[in-house]
Amino acid sequence: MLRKIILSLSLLFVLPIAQANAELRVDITKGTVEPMPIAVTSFHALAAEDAHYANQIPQVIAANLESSGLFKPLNPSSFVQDNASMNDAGPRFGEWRAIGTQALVSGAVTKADDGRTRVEFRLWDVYGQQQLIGMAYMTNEDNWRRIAHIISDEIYTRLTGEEGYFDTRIVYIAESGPPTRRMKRLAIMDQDGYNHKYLTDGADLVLTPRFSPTEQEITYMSYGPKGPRVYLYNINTGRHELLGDFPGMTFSPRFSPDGKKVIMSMAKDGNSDIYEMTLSNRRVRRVTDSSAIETAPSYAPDGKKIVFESDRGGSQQLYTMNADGSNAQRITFGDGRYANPVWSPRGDLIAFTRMYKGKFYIGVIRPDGSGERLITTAYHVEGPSWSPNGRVLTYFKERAVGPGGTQRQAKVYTVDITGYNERWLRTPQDGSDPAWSPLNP
Amino acid sequence: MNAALKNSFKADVTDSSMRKAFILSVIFHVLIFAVAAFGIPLSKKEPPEISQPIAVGFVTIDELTQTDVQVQPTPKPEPEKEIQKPKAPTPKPAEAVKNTAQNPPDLTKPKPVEPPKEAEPEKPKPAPAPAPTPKPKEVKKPAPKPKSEKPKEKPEEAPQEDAFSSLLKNLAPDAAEQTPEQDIEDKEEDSAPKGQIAPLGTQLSMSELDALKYQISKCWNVPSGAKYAENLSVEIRLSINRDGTVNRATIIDNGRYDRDPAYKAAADSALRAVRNPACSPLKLPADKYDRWKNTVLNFDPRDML
Repeated sequence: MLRKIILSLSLLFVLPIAQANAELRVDITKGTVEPMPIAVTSFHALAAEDAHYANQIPQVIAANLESSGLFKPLNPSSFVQDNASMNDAGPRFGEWRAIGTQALVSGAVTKADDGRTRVEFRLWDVYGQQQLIGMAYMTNEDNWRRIAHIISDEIYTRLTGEEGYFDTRIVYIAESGPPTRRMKRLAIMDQDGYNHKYLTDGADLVLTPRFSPTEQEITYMSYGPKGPRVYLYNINTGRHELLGDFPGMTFSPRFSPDGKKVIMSMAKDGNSDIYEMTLSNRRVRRVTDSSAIETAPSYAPDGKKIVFESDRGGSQQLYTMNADGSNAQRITFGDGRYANPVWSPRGDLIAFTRMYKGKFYIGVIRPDGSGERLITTAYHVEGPSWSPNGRVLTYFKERAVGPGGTQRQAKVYTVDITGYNERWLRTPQDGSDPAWSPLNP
Repeated sequence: MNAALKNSFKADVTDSSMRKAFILSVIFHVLIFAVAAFGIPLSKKEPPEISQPIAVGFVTIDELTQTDVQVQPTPKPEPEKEIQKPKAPTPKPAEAVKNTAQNPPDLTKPKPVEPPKEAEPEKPKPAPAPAPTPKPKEVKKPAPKPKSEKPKEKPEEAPQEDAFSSLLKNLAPDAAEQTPEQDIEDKEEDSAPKGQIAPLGTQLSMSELDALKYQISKCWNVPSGAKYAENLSVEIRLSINRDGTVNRATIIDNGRYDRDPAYKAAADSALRAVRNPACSPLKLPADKYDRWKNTVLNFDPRDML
């Protein structure tokens, strides 16, 4: 009995001490959202002839990272160590920390024996005082921009945990001329606006280009001799081709995630339904069959579901259904009209255009219909398209300009899915209907 | 004797006065039963309420409680601010040199320069096919200047400020806006100390915890916009020196760190927070060292999404 009392008494004393030694747990539920400071130093060049690229490549990398809104490349005038010493002895982390950078990029450009250029880079964690990644690439000098984009993607991926999107291109409709005789040409450029070129001559009106997720192919709608039809265009060969022989007009095409099929709408006798064509054998499958209008289909990245717009419920809203057309479910219930849904390659969101009280919005929503967010608005804003990593949207905005507002000015924009960091993507002429490519092959 | 008693009883019962008493007695008993069953009308009042047990948590409050609620609207020019940003633009070279002199360890142990070969192991794309990119004839193309130039039509919103309370923008005309009150409630809730089980004297007070949280929140760059960011909370185990500097910081869920790139990036952002110079030393009460020398920080972005 006495022993029991002593035991319980001693427990009384011991327990609190044990608890005092336990770990303190603290939840950190707030932070900042400032772009991460990063120092991209000019690369080390052994030969004078490489110095040019050794300077240019880091500039492109810094511009890429800055454009994402997630990084803040520091001004090179603040750098504390030159590339030669960094290449020889590694970074002096203490000094780099002192200028407030968290990440550091160094590199070198050399000529290989076979005449090709070797570009290497290293990404350093300044606080952790260690190398995060380091890679080397062999290439022709002409490819230096691509190398810069590929390195940007590596850095982006390591620091954000997501796929990069800098080594990509954007195809869009270049517009010129007065509204009554507007010339619309298919054009393509790097994601940062460089290497711009026209793909069509402007003889035919082209609309809604979409990039294949797997091939260097574009599907789009054009007004040919039979009226509006869906076409396929191969970038490498320059070949255009009419897709299928449909009795009615075909429009709003998109590739399936495996790039093997094109899903589109066909309108006949005032009704439109969704059809799918397998590209290898041109077999056509009808996906929806109703008296309501169904259009603008877009596949989920796993190919199991399709999101589309329909007025079957009385107003124009978004629905999802299984790939075979079954189990349609309405996912939007807001006022106004919803259009142009496009499923994120990441799978977690669907982007769309919404028209409400005379204004246009670009928004995103989860596939189950929750979490709708409108992230940009304008007099006319339309046609969202995802970067291949599902992190950035591109779309175009149009506004009335000129005397009496009779002219239209269209510009291509990008925005982060958080809704911040909206940027104008400069094009030589007006631009509309942008579509993002997958990562370059 | 017994028989005599019985007889006397019989005699009593038969007596008429005894009968009266018997009836009275019956009435009286019935009354008592009735009162017992239904209560006396006069005392028919509400039964006293049974009070619910109230859970009481002990929270020590210092004279100056630094809650997030107070801090957010106008961060006062607190000393933290200055430490936090060793401002990027042009630290004088002299200063930088001085720094190195003071921190020789950094000089002596830079991660050994791995021979470049080591950098190569994952040589990814041997030589990007020259195919798709048309040759950049001239580097100085008059062509489109890339986005390094900010668009003139910068979105009006000031992202950083808004972003502090909400990482995701929503222009929805019909979205229910979060009321400030709600906001404050949330904040108060999460400033309550969690898992405090030590005796009162050694616990960290609410303001001490808040100071720590505030300090770290300034060092933590939240990975916003990640896929399913609400599932990206990261636990970091710290072993802290007596002077508040972090001796060791480790990611608890190492397995996930290795297999989930999004988690890896989130965990790295948490590690950078605790290694940020503005968070060294951590602001912790020296006299309660035993309480905080082993600390787990749970970096959870959920409330910011």
